[in-house]
Amino acid sequence: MMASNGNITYVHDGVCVYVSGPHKDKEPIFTGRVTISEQPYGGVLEWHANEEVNETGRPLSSPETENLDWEDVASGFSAGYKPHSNQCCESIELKLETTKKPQTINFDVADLKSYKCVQKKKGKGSEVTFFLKDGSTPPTLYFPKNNHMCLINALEKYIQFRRSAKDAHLYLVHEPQKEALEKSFSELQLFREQSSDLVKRFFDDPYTATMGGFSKVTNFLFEYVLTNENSPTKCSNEEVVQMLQESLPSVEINQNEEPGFEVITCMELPPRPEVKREDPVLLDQWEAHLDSEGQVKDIEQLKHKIFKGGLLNSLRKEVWKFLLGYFPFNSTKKEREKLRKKKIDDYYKMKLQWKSITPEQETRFSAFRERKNLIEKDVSRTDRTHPYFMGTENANVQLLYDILMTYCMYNFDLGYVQGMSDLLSPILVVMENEADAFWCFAEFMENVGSNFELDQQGMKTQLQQLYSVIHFADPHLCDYLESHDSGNLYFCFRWLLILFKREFKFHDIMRLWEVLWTGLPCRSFHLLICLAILDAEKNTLMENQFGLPEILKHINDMSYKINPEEVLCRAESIYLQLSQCQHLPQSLQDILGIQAPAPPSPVSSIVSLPPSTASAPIEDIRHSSSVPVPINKTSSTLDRFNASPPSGNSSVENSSIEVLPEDSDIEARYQISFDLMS
Amino acid sequence: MAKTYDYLFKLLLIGDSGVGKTCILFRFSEDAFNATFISTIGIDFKIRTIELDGKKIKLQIWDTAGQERFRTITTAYYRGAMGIMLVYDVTNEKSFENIKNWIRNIEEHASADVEKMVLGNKCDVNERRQVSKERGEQLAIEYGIKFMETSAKASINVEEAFFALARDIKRKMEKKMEATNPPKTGSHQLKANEPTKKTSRWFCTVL
Repeated sequence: MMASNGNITYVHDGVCVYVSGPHKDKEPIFTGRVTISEQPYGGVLEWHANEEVNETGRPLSSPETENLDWEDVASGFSAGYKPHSNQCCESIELKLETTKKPQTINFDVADLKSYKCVQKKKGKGSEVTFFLKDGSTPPTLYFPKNNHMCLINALEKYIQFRRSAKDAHLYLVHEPQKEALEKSFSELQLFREQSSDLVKRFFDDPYTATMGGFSKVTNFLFEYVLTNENSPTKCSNEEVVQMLQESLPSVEINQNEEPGFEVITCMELPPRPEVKREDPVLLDQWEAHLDSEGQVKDIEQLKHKIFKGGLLNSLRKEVWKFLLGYFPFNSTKKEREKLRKKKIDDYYKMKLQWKSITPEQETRFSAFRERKNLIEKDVSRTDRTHPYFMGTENANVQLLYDILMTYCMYNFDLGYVQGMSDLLSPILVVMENEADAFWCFAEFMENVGSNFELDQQGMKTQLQQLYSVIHFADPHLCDYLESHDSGNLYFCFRWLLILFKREFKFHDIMRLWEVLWTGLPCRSFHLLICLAILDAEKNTLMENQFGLPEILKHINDMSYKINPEEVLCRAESIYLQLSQCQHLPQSLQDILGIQAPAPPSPVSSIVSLPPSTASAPIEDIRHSSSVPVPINKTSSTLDRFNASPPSGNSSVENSSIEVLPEDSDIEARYQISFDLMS
Repeated sequence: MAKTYDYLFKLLLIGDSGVGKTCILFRFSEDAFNATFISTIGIDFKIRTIELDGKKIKLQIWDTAGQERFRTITTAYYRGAMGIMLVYDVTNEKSFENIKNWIRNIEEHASADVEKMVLGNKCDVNERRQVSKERGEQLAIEYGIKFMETSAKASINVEEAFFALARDIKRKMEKKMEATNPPKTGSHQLKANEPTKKTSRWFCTVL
């Protein structure tokens, strides 16, 4: 798809693009040319790489034999930024050619929604990221000479930009007439049986919509009052009013704009302290934690160091075994050798069990057959661009297969579920040993196994907990997501299911996981990581007015591009903020294992370990490791992920007051599907 | 303002894990094939604009995780789909048998008048074929659904399949519009010849 047939009205050379992918430590840069061409339907922006441009469009290499730099990017999380690919023959040839250099970028100027411009430090150029209306994000353009404004000016012949009031780096396309037209078309309602936007809801059923909106206020207050530690669970109306006046001066009820819809404007949280990451734990630091017998001493201090900086890559093979619980921290070197011997023995016994199933047995064992098929399919497409798994007939792919098959024998009830191969792959890469990798993986699964259960309860609980966290920490964002059909947070499903494996680059996910495995600084810290990522993207989502598909696309397009250190800093900062928050509802205290600082409570079952105090050795009273365990499913008042819609009307359901149900009650309700989208 | 498309169709790809849904979509949207695909976790979509009878149609095609366990989440996205591709793998008998379950799934979760089509993918791999073309056709006749054998790898029928599905949706939609347009006097109609018809994308921007 070379600069199609239209007139080229603008040319800008020397514009670079990073090629990102899960297995690249350093992103290669390609220099190329940006053009804007005039088509009958408007302007088209294109970018082509300079090097190796073969004018005939002939393939330079075969995609099957090469490592697919760009296309693996495009497959995993790409967007439709090449919308007009109907000239198939032409584009096939070009595609084949582009195995080693990035594909072209090509989109209609009219499809632009906004762009983000970041100036690099010390005058090292500028970066422009375009956001398209479908939520997709073409690769970021890098202008080493800082001259991106020429391009922006050229674009302004077609569209106008205005700077976002909330994000100084964000420039939104200004389309004055658009909204009216969009509205009119949406109300044609050709196929959608029911739209859930508020206006529509209001027209359909003004009473429900309004009362639903109002009930958000009561719901919030109710939750607040109910969960406030010192308040009695039952109180009269007067008492509630009085209490509100006393204890909630910071809650404002917005009565001016859109009465009844958006209600709670802000609940002041303490400021977020600045957080810095530290250097990874080095070999001598690790060795200093081992006594003469090989027992690990000052465990909490070690964990704290790992939490703050992670581990040097070469230490992972040894230390992960402790973090995951394969080796007890207090075991001696001798004990570990003995343990390991036994574990290896156990592993091969289990492996033998499935290895010795004859083909004839297999014909009468459908559960086994199905799992085998699924594992076969998945290992052949797990991290195949990573050097460890690259190429055909790779023995390490076979190892993945063997370990997952053996895991089926180890945990037959759970078996194999998609996503597990993603969790195993980094562990195998680090362990470089089948049996060790198996046991580390098995320990990992102890903590995240509930994500994969048949009833998906682990996922539902976590989505619900995440909702509670967002609802409290960022009601604006929560409201926005609710009103854009995304209150179920399904767009975070992949994050939670495989603990961000597909969101971060391969070496970054190792860092993130080891941080999570420390169990610091609080329970379910991964939920705060989710919030941290959303927090960073919030302005982009809201200012672009992204709806359900665009939010999902934007989130999916962030895959392998998220900076782990930034996210960890932000998440820790949010943790510190919440742990200083006196109004932290009981439900959040339970989810995160944080205790609100004041007023002091005589009964304390959970001790939180803020990093500042963790430098001294502290007995970890939780004992068990660490990794996010969905807990306390009864504690959330926002039981929306499991509840049955009482009236079939989500607007009411989402916002109605719910009284904490009894345990037995909850169990019954969990049976009901959590699809409340409709 | 430029007109980027006249209609937006939401399509859905469903079928067992590993039948090639993502590859079909990648072939259609990027016209490429990648042997090192990764399994789909959760849900994603891609977009391609095609032209049919002079109309620009933006196809928003949703790709879902195939494993049964994730159906609670994937079915949440069935709503609003105008067309569904049911994909099986001709080298995998089980995936063909499961088409019936997938159809039942659609009946439960998608709107009643959704256009459907069955695709038997990987038809280039004849040496490992387990499901004959005739059986595919038979099944399609049984359910009154269109059928095609495809190969994302060899680029067989992928283009044709999506165009056929889009054409059926367009026909149905125009019929509906004809039926609803004249009597309705509401102010929200779009006239067919409206010059600056910048057809809508979403309903999300209203609030």
